Amino acid sequence: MARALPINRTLSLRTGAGLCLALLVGVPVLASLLPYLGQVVDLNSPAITGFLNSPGLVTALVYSLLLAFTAPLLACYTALAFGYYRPRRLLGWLSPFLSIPHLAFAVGVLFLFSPTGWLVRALHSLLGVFESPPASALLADRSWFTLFWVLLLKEIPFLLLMVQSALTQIPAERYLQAGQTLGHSRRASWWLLVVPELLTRLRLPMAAVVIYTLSVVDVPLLIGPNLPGVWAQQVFQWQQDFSAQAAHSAVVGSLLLLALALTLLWLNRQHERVYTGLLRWHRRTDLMTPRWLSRVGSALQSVARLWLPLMALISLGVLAALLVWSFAGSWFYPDLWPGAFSLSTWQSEWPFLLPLLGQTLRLALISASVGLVAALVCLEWQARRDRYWPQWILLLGLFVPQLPLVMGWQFGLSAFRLDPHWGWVLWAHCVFTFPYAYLMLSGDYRRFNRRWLLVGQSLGYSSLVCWFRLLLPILKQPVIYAWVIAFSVSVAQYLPTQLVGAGRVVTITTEAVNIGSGGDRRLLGFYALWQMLLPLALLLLAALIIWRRRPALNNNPSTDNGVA
Amino acid sequence: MYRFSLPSVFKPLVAALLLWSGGAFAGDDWSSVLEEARGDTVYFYAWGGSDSVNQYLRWADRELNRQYGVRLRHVKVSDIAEAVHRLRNDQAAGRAEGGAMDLLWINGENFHALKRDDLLEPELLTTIPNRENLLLDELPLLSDFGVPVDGLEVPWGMGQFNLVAREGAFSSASITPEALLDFARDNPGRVSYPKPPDFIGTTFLKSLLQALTDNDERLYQPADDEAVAALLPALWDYLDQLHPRLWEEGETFPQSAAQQWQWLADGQLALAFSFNPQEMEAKIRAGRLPEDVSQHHFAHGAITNSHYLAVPRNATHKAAARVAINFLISGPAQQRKADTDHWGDPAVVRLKSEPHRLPTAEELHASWQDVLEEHWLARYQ
Repeated sequence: MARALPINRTLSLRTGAGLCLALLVGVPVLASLLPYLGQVVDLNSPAITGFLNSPGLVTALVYSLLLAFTAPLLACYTALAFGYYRPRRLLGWLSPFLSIPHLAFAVGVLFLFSPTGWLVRALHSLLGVFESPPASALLADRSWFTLFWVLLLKEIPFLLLMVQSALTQIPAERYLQAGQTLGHSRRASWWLLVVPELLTRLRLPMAAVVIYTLSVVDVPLLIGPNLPGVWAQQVFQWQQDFSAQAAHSAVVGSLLLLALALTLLWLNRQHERVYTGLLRWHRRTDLMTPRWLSRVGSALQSVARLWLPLMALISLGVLAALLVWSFAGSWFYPDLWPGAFSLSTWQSEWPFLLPLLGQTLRLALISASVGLVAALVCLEWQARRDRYWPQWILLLGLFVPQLPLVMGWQFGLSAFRLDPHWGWVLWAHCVFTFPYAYLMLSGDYRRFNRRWLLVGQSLGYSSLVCWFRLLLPILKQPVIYAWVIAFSVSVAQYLPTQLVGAGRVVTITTEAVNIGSGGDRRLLGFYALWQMLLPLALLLLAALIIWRRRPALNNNPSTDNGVA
Repeated sequence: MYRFSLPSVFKPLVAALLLWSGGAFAGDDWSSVLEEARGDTVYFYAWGGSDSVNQYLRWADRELNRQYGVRLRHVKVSDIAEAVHRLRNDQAAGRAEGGAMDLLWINGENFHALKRDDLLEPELLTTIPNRENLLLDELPLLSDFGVPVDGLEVPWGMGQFNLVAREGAFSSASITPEALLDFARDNPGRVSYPKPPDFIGTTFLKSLLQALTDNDERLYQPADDEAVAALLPALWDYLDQLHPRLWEEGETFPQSAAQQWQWLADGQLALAFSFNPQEMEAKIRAGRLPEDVSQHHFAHGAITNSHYLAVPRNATHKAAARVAINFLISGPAQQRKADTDHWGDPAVVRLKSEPHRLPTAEELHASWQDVLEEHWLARYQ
């Protein structure tokens, strides 16, 4: 097909794709690796002994390993169980959940379920129980379990989206029918035939989720345990500390974080094998599922079905809690409502919020657009060659834990005496918006029936015109959603903004984390609310655009392209 | 307790000499400093975890801009150790000027570290005209945790360690470690403290140590192995009894004093700590704390120390930083800072009304800070 195009355009597309790959994957990784290796070379045995003597080492490692293993796995199976129902308009439901930043969600969940949260207050006012806050409620203000639940809940929508996307790539319906003709129930066929296929396709998204869970810092800083914290949090604190030993420990610690990442990625691969192994064993021993297992399965499946309404309820609760706290005057336990509502938080913070909003928006709009365009360029170039690069290369930024990556940049900036500058932060954001945009888009893009483009060209339109007039309108929905998700990824970036921007580039997210360290619920509610509102507002706008101006040609890419 | 030593006499002498010689210099020069500063922005790296402090600095920015054409940009950090780390990195990279930070809010171990590494602008104090107002004779402002200030930093405010409890927790204003332990026994899960190395959490440990070792004089000298081995066991014995009765059975701690305050307001905890004797009143007025709370201090005295402003040697806007410092220790700025409607931090200059002060206990030598944090983490983390 490339032959049908003018040579220079193909060339420029190739250059573009090469540039995107170089600037958003190659250079960032190398620019981090070199200064980082410089630090690694500096290590000596007293530094390592000092590191090994640091308290809480083993506990922190176990915390992280357990967290990054169990939360994504449980999220994955919940998504798979829920995916069975294949509800209509799922994307519409999922995108708001996806767009809520983890941090705002965590803050809101605490406001709801902590020992002094709304739930306990409501129980008190209804039943008169809990005269003083219970010692252990659903979620403690800080604990491993709080962290686990928040991450679990927040990871399901992403994996569910990936399940949906994978489902359009396999003839799931035919699999289910085949299973039923073999005498399995429809549900058993799902788990026996469709899920193994899905697991293969979920490998990369799962890897991204696992690495995120392992390396996230802002959320554990706010709600995680702290005696010790999870591993990434420990490394981050060493990185912030100023003693020579802490600097060494940060480097060794981040090496260990990389080792943890590799272990977890390996476990992630094994998980798929274990699943298919179990199925094989099950097939060999007995064709039919034992009755008790089937009962348990169906019960769990029904529980999973509750996920969507539950998540919708929690999200609304989160929004309401953030909103009410931001307007609260004095509000003490066990009052269900603030003693007084007051505009004072909004009035005093508003002038300071505006520049933050401006900064956040500027970073997010540009980096989301850069990420989206880069993803489109890379996809288009691969589609024209009809040969695809291995996905993990494009998504490399998601498979390296963020902390060592960003630390490497910081070492580099400091070594070259480069000032903390807005441009560096922007670039750092693009490194993360690009892979997410790519991940969101690639399924639909690859399924796009490129015969449309040929038809267009045979009518005399240039390939560029065809791309804009045919491909883009048909793929409008996934393109816009990819942009929105890339936008919310940028809004939620903490580490790159804080470390690369040296505290000078301040966004809603860094401000919310800094204010979180102060514990004032009104301020925290106010800033978390805005962190949540930004992506939601954009999403609403996107939904309006999609809803108002459906393309005349075709408004449902998946049905058309699935067959192609 | 006082023992004659050459440095202890020599250092104040040098400081006095510097002050005196700097006076003439500053007078002539100040207008040119003001001129140079106009239009500059001071990047002020300071802890950003307190709403009232943040609001106060916003006011200072407005005033500085109005009076001198200088902007004060508060770069909020969750721990000022970040800034120390950054300066060390700059030093390692050989960056002697053009640094990102113009002004720092520090004291104690952070000051100690920066002084040791020679990272602070020398003779800062002598070039600030308003230093005349400082109550250098009345308050121990020239020794920062036992380390001489040597003109490298300018006193900004005072801290006195105090405890705020829900009404009825303790019968008198002054309490002992035993009373605290009894309360924790009767009310399991209602007491906790900010996790060391949080500044206030470590100060709590210091207060306990003072009380449990009967104010041993070795606490006020550099910590050596012998003193550590002799003095710390009493503290660990006490904490081993206390921890099982703490919030979450001592397995997790509030991350900061601010979080402890929030949990006190919630009623999850019955106790919070502060370095500001007026914080309780300020919080009640702001509707951040219910009214049924009361202030307490340890019977042997409230640990008292000061906090300071300093300029890194490689700062970019040194003149503007000086103008900001001069403003921040001026009468009106200190008055507003001491006002409980705003921040409520005790002043280092004379004000119209004398603030409320608690019986004082001396701050430990700065070296104990590291020792306590290290041993605490090794033992409990």
